[in-house]
Amino acid sequence: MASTSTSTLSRKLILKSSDGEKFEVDENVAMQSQTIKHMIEDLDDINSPIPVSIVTGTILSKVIEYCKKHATEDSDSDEQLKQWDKEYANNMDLNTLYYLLLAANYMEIKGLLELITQCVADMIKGKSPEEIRAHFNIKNDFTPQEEANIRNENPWAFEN
Amino acid sequence: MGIIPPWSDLHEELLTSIAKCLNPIDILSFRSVCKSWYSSSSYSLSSPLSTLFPPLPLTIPSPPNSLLNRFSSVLNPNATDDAVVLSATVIYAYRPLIDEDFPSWMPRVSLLFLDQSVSGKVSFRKPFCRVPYSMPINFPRTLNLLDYRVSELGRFYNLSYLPKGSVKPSVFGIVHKVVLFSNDNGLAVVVLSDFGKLGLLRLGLSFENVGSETEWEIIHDGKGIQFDDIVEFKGRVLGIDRRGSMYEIKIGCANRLKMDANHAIVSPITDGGGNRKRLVESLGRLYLVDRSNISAENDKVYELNNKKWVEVNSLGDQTFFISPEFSFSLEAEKLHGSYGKNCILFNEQSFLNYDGYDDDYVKFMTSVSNYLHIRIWHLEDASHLGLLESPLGYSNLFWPPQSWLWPKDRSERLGTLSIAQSRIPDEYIKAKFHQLSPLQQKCALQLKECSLKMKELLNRFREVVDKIKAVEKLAVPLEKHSNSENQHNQIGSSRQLTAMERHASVDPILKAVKQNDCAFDWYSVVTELDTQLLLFEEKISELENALEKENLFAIVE
Repeated sequence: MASTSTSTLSRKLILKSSDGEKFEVDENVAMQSQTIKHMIEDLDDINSPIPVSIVTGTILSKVIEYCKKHATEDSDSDEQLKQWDKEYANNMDLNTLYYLLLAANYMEIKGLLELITQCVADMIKGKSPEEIRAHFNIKNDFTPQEEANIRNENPWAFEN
Repeated sequence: MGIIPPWSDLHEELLTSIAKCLNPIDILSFRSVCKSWYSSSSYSLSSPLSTLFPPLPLTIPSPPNSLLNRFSSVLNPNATDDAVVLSATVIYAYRPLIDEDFPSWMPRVSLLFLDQSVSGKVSFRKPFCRVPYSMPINFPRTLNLLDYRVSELGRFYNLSYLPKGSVKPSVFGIVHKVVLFSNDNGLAVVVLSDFGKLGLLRLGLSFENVGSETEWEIIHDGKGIQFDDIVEFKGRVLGIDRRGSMYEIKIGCANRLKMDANHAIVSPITDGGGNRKRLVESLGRLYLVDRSNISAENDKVYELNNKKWVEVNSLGDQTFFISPEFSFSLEAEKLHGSYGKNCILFNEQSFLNYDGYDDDYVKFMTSVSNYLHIRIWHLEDASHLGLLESPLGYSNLFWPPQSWLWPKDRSERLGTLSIAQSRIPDEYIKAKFHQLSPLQQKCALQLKECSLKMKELLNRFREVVDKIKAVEKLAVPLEKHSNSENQHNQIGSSRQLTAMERHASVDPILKAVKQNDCAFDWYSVVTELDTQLLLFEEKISELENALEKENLFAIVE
């Protein structure tokens, strides 16, 4: 494939979001997505826009921001990159996080997926079930009986 | 994206990845959120405890006598028959779920030391104590994690033996520290015992086979270099000797460690220091705490910096906790408003002299209330001879457990106490008295005397509790600033109120609270009350047990 040649670094791809927005990106940026990597391998004409069907333009721009940063990682130390990741994730609102999570999963971008997963897990940590529900706006769909059963699964019995 | 995204409908695979980033306690909450989250987490219901401490508890071969040295035969007569168990103790911070329900003066966090037990239950330790707590009457029998906010602060490991037919393990007195270490070759246990010896047990990757072929190795016999402490630090096991030289204890090589001054990875501190040296990891850095047996001013803390021990004067926002078998560091803020940064809390036996004697022991003995033998070392003013006593200062973190942990309120607890107390039968003792041996008669008399005294105290206590209850209702709306002011008062006040003194002091409390007199040291009164109540409960349980034993003796005779 062309990906082995040196010219690939400067090659441009066009990604098209679900709402029709187009983004021109360097190939090495886009290739961080396993999904896109596989798509290119199957494509004859890489000049035509590559559809990223379930991701909207707003989210796709955020994904690209992440990929761009991580495509040029030589310039930053690991620590700096971690700091950047942290700030990147912290700047997202909860809605964006949700769609970013779906996008990272669909586009198979391992680093982004791990980052968002960890970020969501951090939001759960130290919260009670009720607080988690409130935070993520989740309805409690357990019956009182089911809820009582779950509660009873959890006690620590002390040795006498 | 105006609509709220359906977090509950996330794909199971994604939910599972999120759950994987959570610790077992948070998973409990996670799976209680909704049906789809519940079914996504693979958290095993059958053994909630084993997921907290995998793969422990583990029955392992008995350490060789050469590691346990001369005392082993006295402490552990049936060493060969008893199972030796490797288990974990986890230190948790727990808080009530809803802070607002509590008056501002009430501490919101408490530390809980939980031992993993072979029976699948957990047992409770008094903070910093080496033995399981015999839980008194009224003590909660279960703890439902969903009722509290629980977070893990640290864990340490124990090597104990289980006398045949018993579920209560006993510790090896001369095992100072157990480090559990894992690398590509699986788990390994490194044990520091008396005289600075090191034992190693490789557990390998599969724990089912432990015991059959697994054998202990003495990797250091205490000759030449005597280790004071060992610690796992950044994937390596490090040992420190009595002069402050540090060595890497390499698990990979099967032979004895080559240990002489040439192999030290960190040079000794200049004058060698004083007592046993202890290592503490804090925020990814390694610290050495060295107490002098000459004077408090010579006690020092060093930080490992570029392969050298460099003296430091401050721990910043951290609090160090040191006991003979563990050390850890905690951001004081995590204690949720309990003051205590830049200090070291340690208990007796943590800094032994090189002859094995504990200088602190005498100081601990002078403690009026010897519930907790913990001392505080404030780095700011090097005043570290202060004892941590109930109801002073930090004790709210440790003991007694906060009143919100109890399923019953104080009046109810008193009710149970009175009933239990009345069950200790004067008549029975009278009838049986003549059948008892002189020694047992003496015990019985003591028992009776004790019981009568407690009856009297309980009656007074009940009055106090009723009044306290009335006061508490008034105290809830007190402003927060009373809290900070009270804390200052507690540091200076060292009074030990007897039940009777307290009795007399309740009316002034009522008056003070009514007048919103914030300077009043209300909190220490309540803590002291709870401490006394718990002492009663312990005493009653003790009496009941003693009586049970006496009965048995009488029948046997």
